[in-house]
Amino acid sequence: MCSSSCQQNQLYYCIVIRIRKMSLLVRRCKFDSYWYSTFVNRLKLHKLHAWSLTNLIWTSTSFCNAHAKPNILDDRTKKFLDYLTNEYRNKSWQSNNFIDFIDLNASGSLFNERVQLVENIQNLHDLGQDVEIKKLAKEEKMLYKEQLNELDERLLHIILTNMYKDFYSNIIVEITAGVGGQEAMLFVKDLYETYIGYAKYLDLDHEVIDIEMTDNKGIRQVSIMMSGDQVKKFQHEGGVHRVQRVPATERAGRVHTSTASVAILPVPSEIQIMINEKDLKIETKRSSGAGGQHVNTTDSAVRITHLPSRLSVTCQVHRSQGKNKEMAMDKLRSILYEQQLNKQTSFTSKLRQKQMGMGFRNEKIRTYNYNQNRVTDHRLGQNGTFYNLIEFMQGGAALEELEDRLYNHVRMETLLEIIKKLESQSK
Amino acid sequence: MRNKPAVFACLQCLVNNNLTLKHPEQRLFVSDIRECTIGNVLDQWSRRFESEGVPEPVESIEHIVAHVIGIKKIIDVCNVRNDTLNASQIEKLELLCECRLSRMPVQYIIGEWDFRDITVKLVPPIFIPRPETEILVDFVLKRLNSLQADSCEILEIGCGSGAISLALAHACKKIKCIAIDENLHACNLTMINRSKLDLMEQITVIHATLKSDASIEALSNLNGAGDSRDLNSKLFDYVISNPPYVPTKKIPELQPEIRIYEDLRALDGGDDGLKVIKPLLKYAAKALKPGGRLFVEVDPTHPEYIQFFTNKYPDLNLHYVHTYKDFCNNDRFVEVLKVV
Repeated sequence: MCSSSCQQNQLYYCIVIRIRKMSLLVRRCKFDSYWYSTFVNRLKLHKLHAWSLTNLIWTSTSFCNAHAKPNILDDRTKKFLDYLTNEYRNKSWQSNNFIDFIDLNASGSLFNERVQLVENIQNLHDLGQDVEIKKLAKEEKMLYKEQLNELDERLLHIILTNMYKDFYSNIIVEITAGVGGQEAMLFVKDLYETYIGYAKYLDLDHEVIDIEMTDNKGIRQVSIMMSGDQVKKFQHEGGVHRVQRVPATERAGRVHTSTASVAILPVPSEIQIMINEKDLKIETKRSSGAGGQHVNTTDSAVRITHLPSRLSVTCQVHRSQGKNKEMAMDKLRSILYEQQLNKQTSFTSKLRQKQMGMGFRNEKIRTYNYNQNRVTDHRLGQNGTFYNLIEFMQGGAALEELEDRLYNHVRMETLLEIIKKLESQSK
Repeated sequence: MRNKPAVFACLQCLVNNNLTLKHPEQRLFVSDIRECTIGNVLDQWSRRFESEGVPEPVESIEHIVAHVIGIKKIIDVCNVRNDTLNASQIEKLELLCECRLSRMPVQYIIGEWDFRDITVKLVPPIFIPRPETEILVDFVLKRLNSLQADSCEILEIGCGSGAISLALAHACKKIKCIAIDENLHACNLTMINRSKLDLMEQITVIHATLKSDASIEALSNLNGAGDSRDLNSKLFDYVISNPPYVPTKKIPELQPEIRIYEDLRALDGGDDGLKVIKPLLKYAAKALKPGGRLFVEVDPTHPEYIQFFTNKYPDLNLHYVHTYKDFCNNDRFVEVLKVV
């Protein structure tokens, strides 16, 4: 889907967002073994139900009992697959926004098979009264059912995997001091070091784009460009991080609470966010005077102002002005992209943003309590507390483990949210 | 040159790579051995530079410290403020700082600078590539991509450190470049940078000069057979140049960094700044294939003349295409097309 807001809004940039790729965030990553085995086991236990064609039509009745027993999950997911098959069969796929995160290229043939299987099962019902034939039909049906279960496992596997398939390979991690003054800025420094450690642990290329230091060695704001296969492991870091500790600057020994907010900004391609050069005002420190051969400076800072949106970004970390400009453009694109996504209010776009780690921007996601050596991630509820703060702040395996858990959690939540939405729609 | 002996001392040290000064007793110790953290060095020297009127005092010392401790980006220097320097690092640092006090450009002091994606070694007095010229390379590459040719032969006139040719070849494997310069040291520096970047296959360096009659004269034979080809008959897809274009009367107004340390032959474009540009246009008319293009960096007063020139001599079959601006909104680059 391409929304070009050029003419109407006097915005001369054209932003192409591929809603089809709602799986944006969605990683190509291995299917998580925990969920996988759970599904497999449950599907196997769940022996052979009759699924007549009428069952293929989405009905809400069986889904009302939303949050209960584990086997409901199977029932729901199976119904969900029935629904998807139906959509596929009726070719209403393209117009259905809720399921456009499913990659037809990857799963199309499987859906074909499923349609065929379901039809075969259905056909067995119409074989008349002959006892022998009925017996044969029953055996055959068992066979088909088994195949169907196997097929469903594969389908769910593919759907869940594709939900996190193409996360960006470049992101900008932006950490900004929140409430708490100097202490918040010192905490930004700590988080910055944690993330640098984490980037090294994940073997990512990382580069500071912009950093605003304070006199007391804190950081007001820092943007880090990360690139590599593993950047998706930063996906769930976006949000408000709260710290509870006795600040180094505190004389009376009182515990303070301060915050820092982290934004994860995927860097879109030049095609996804097209920026018209004419809309840009590019400034350098060499802006005054004759320039060229007349001047020699080491200052290569670049500031780009995007006139339609009045956004302004700077980059001064490289010795080459061209590279600074390139990096500033990347940052500008990612900010415009985020703004564009924020304007969209549809269910799917919100979901997508959440998956990308952009939906939690103003949400308190984690607390770091130094006195108790405790890290609590509020999204994981009861299971979100760890007592290894020191290790955690080094940004190694401990942070990766939490990210992995968040990944499973958010992915499953997302699937359930989609199913719930579909249920409420079909009511 | 307020501080002449120091200048010579620095130059000598840099050239000989010899870290002892002739007059150590004259050295001004700013850093105290006892508290020589990088933070202190930065604070003390930036104050010193500022009080002596050295431009960009903070950046200067940050680049020098970064060079001494072996890192590239000055943003990383802030992260190591609490580290200390050892004795030999301090010695080296103070030597380099004295060079800066004598207004030696930072690029020469640390011996390298970045140009687009590449890092080029820089040695006085070879011209230091300016950031504007990166844009010239961008325009050439953009044009090249839009034409989608299989191969591309480029001639660069006045290559200096080789930045333009090397950046082009680095960015696009289809490009083959001949880089010429009248200064043998510039040719040698280009060759050093060429092997550092592993672009031997794509770049040929020739010691030759563009004469005022628009012919090219080989000055010496650098590496045997390859050089003997006749540049006065070969045809190119592109001719690119950042020729000297500063009018002579402006030279005395230039910063000391430029006036004292850079080879003025790379900057001084004669009375009107067009001394090299005129023969360059005439030579391009001969050396470009039909449809070939000349890209040249100029003073903002020159594009008008180039347009006049191409109209005045229709026999040359040159067609003025466009003038591009740099980031400071100055008319800076001219594109000329050789028509059939």
